[in-house]
Amino acid sequence: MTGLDDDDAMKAAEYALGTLDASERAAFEAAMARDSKLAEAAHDWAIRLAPLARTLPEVTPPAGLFARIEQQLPAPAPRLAIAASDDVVQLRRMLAGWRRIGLVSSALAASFGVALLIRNASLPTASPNMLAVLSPKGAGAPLVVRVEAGARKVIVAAASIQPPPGRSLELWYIAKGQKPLAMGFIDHTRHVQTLPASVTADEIRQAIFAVTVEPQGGGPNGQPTGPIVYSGPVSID
Amino acid sequence: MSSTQFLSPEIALTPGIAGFPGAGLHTVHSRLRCDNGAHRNVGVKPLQAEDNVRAVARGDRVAFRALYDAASPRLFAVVLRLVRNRASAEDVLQDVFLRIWRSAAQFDPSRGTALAWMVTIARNRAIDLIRQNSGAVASAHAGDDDMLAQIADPHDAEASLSDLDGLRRCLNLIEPEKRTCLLAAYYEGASREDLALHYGQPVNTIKTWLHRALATLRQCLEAK
Repeated sequence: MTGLDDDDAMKAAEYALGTLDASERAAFEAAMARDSKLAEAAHDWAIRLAPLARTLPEVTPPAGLFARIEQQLPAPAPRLAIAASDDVVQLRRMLAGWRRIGLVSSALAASFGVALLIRNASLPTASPNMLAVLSPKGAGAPLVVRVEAGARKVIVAAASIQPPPGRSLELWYIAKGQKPLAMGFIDHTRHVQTLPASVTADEIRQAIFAVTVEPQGGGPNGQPTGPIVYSGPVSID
Repeated sequence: MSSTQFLSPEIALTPGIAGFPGAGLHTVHSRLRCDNGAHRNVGVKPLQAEDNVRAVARGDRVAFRALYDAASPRLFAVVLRLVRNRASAEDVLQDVFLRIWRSAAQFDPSRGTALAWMVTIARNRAIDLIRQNSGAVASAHAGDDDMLAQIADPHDAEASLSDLDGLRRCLNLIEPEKRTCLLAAYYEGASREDLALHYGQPVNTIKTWLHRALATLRQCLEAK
């Protein structure tokens, strides 16, 4: 477990043991997504402790449970895999596109420096609010994500969307050059989630949000696996 | 290629269910390591579990069923003990096996057995649930003070003597109260607050106890 300070090493141990509270757990999971050393340390602890699980008497789950699980497996056709990889390609393209837009706007910013400075000066620097208008992949209304940058709150107002049966709609925050960060599941109710403390307003400004269809309760790794149904970059409110 | 790795190759490092870092990087060594790891003395069955996980990664439903049949009673025991509600435990187990299906490609046999990998997924999901519902969790979590007794008798005939024995020996080096905290956390999902209530100690004291217990454990296991 090289390169971890004592505090991180203990967080990894407590994560594996399960004694972090809900917010510490969420924060550590976000940290693991950024730092593979943390994920490795937590994994090592889980493996160290795992022999304990063998000491419990086995309990057979109810007979119908496997059928329930099997129903939720993806259809065994290669078609699905192709569909998924198309989405991957599409998300990659979108990210590349937004990065290009980012470059262009940086260049514009350089040539219109003064104007932009004035515009920025008019923004409250402490807690600017930002919006991301996520376009639907097919027809339908866009989904609006509001970000209170000061409080790092991500808010999706009540919208008329419902996840497909047996699936969840998962919201993702994707900072420039970083892995998607899970922002919870959305449905027709108002949804509020907090970004990790390490996220800066500058980072949010350059981020995108996306919504994917995931197995109920989310994909296995805290990373998106399913098709993208909404996506869009953050803009200033 | 698992669709979970889709944004960039390093995405295989997962939050939540203890990612399996470097999945795919160790494939050359995995077969060798498999025969050389903790299960050396154990016989055929655990190796089958590893083979089944590899097959599941290729979308093999027969292997998935075999994995379910072999592992679900143990995983259900772990989950049920943590969430202490049959209906919730069934939901968690369902989710656990869907995650096993989707992330099988990330299982790395050089970094632990298939069972340990599945137990990790199961415990993480169960603990996520009980931490989210922490208001509803009673102090009954911190069980009796002799939890070590239960681990003296493995219920798994194939349990690797080497890893459980080593762990048990190291747990014995921890002071009883601190050891009970650790075991209550592992088996019952006791939070620091639950333990603080049970022992009438400040939460920070419990945190220190846990840290000392974990440090002792790690030192001992690494010295083996």
